[in-house]
Amino acid sequence: MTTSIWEDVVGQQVAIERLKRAALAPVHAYLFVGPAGSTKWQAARAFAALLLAGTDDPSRRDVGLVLRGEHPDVKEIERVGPAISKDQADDIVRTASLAPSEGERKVMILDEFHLLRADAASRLLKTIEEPPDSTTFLILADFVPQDLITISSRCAQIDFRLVDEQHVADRLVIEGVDPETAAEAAAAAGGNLDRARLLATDPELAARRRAFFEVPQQLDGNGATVMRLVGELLGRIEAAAVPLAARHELEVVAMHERIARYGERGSGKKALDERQKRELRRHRTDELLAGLTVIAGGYRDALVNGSVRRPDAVAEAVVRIHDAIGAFERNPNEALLLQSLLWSLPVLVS
Amino acid sequence: MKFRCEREILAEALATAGRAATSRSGTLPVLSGVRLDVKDGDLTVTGTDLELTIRLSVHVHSDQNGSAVVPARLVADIVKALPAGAVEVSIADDEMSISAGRSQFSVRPLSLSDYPAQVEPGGEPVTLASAEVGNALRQVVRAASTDDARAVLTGVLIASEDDGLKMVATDSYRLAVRNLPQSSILATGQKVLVPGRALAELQRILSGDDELTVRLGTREAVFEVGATRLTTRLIEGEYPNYRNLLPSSHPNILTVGREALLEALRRVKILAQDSTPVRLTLGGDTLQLTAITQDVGNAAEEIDASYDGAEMTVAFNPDYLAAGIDAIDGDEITLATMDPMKPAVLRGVGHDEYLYLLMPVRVP
Repeated sequence: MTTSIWEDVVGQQVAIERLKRAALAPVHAYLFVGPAGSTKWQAARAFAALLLAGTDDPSRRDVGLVLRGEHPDVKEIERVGPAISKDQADDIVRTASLAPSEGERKVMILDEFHLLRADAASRLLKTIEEPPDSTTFLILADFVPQDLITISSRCAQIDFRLVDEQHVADRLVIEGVDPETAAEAAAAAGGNLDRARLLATDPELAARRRAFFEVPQQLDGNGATVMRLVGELLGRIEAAAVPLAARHELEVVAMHERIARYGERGSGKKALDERQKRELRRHRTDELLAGLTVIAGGYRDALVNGSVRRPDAVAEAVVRIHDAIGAFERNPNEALLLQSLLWSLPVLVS
Repeated sequence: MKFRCEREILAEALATAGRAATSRSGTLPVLSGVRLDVKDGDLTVTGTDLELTIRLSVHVHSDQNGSAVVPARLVADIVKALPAGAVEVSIADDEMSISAGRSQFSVRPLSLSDYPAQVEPGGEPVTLASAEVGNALRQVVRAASTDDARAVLTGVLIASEDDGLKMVATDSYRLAVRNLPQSSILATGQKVLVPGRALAELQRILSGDDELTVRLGTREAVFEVGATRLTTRLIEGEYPNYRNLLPSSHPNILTVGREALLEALRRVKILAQDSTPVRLTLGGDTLQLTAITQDVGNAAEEIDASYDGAEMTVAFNPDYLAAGIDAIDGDEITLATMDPMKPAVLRGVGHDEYLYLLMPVRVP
C-alpha cells in the first residue's frame, strides 16, 4: 500500500519540495534533468497525480491511476526506436490538442528527451511552447543536448541528482535486499537506483569487482598476461548479463500472455525486443565502465597511500583509464580497447 | 450473459463499434476489444480508443443479462463468417462461446474491469435533419488537414453565428465553408473544434435516418443517430481566422457546367503527374484545361463556359480542384478569381450556402 505519492522518488528532497511548490501555480512545461536511475520517472508520475487530483492522497482513485500509469488524462511517451520519432512527435501534438477525458487538465510525460531527433524536435517546439491551456508537459532528460536548448528554454527546469549511496542502500533494504548486498550494490551502482536493483540480484557482483580491483597487481609486463586478464574480465562481463536476461525473460513471458489475450497486433513485441537489446548493451557498457572505475580507484588509493615507486606513471595510468572510459562513447571493440589499456598500465605491487 | 441475434445485425453492430476500437501500440491493450452489455433484450456494443467512442444498441433475444469485453476484430471476423441465420452467444467465466448452425467458436474475453468507464453525455440535446448535416459534412470534412503535426487544422470548426451554424475546415491549401441556416446547436458566438476523423465516421453512420441528435459540451461532442451514439473529444486551440482568407471582391468570374468540368479534369489530370498542376486558361467562351508533365507528355481539353473578366491562366493542384468541384451542389459552378496568385473561390450557382476556396499554384 502506497503511503505517499513521493514514496518512489528516492534521495531527491530538493526536487520534491520544488515540485510541491510548483503544483500550487503550475506552468505549461517542466523539464526534469538528471542522470539515469535518479527516479525522474517516478517523480513525474507523482507530480502528474498532484496536478490532476490537487491532492497527494494516494488512496484517491485518480491518484492511484496516475501512479500505475493508467490514467486516461496522463499520456506517457517512451521511445519505440532509438529516439522519440517523427510519428511519435505527431502523436504527441495530436494528443496534446484534444480536450482531457475526465478532469480539467491532462499531462504528457515524455521520457528520454535527450535522445530526441532534430526533425521530431521541430515538430514539437510549437506545441511545447504554447500547449492548450489544459495541457502540462513533463519532459525527462538525462542532460540537455545543444539541439534541445530552444525547447528547454521554454520549460521550468527541475534538477535531479545522482542518488547518494546511503539512500540507494536504504531503499534496497526496504525492498527486501539484505544490508550487506544492498551496500555492495549501492557502492557499485554509481547513484543509479535502477542499476543498484539489478546488481542486488547479481551474486557475481562482489567477485567481479574484486577481479577488476586486482588487475593492477596481476599485471607483470607480459603480453600473455594481458590477453588472459582481458579474456577473464570479458567473461565476467558476459556473465553479468544473466540477472538482466532473467528479468527480460519474465517480461517476454508477460508479453506472451498479453498476446494470447489481446492478439499480437499492438502488443509492443518489436518495441520490447528493441528495448531489451538496448538495455543489454547499456548494461554491458555500464559494467565495463564500472570495472574500469574500480581499476582507476585502485591506482588512486595506491597513490594516496604513497605505496608506489613511480607516482607519475600511476597518475598517468589514471588519466589513461579515464580516456578509455571516454572512448566507450564511440562504441569501440571492447577486447582491443582493454588489451591496449592494460598493456599500458604500470604494475602495482600489493 | 447469453443472447441470440440475427447474424447480419450482430455483424453490422460489431463492425460499426469496432471501428473505434484500436490496437495501436502504446494504447491500453483492452481498447482492442468491444464491450458488450446485454440488458432486458437490448445488446449494447461499445468501441473506443479514448478519443472516439462508438456505441450502438440492437434488439436481441436475451436469456441472461451481463457485460463483457471481447476482442473486436476476431469476434467480428467470426460472426461475419458464420452461416446466415441466428447466432447464439454466451459468455461465462473466462470463455465466450459463439455458435450458429453447426459452427462453434470459443474465444477468451478481455478484462471487463480494465475497460474505460463510459460517461453519460451531458448538455442539452438538439435535433437536426440528418440528410442536411450529412451533406454538409461531405462538403466540409474533405478540406480538413490529415497532418497531426497541425492538430488544430485536423478539426472542423463548428461555430454559431447570427444566421445559424457554420462549418469550416482548412488544411491551409484549401478552405471549405458551409452555412447551415436556421440550425442552432450552440449559443451565439460559441464555437467548437470537432476532430475530422470523428466527423468522417459520423458520415458513415448517417444513413438517411431522419434525425440527428447533437450534444456539444466543453470537452466532448455527442452525436446520436437512431440507436447509434458517437462521442468524440474536442480539439483545444485557436482556429485560424479564416475570414481573412476570403477575398473581398471577385472581378473575374467563370461559369461552367459542373459535370463537364469534372469529366474534363478527370481526363486531363492523367498527365498531371508528380504534383504538377492543371492550368485553366480563362477567356472568351471556352475554358481550356492543360496539364504538362516534363518528359512524359501533355493533355489539353476545351469545354464551353462563360467568362466575365480579364484573360489569364491560373493553375491548381488537380486533386484539390476535383475535390472542390465534387463537393459543390448544383449543375453549374462559378470560379471567382482576382489574379493568378490570389485564392480562387468555387461555388454552386444558386447554392450560396457553400464555398470552397483554393490556393493557386505558381507556374512559369
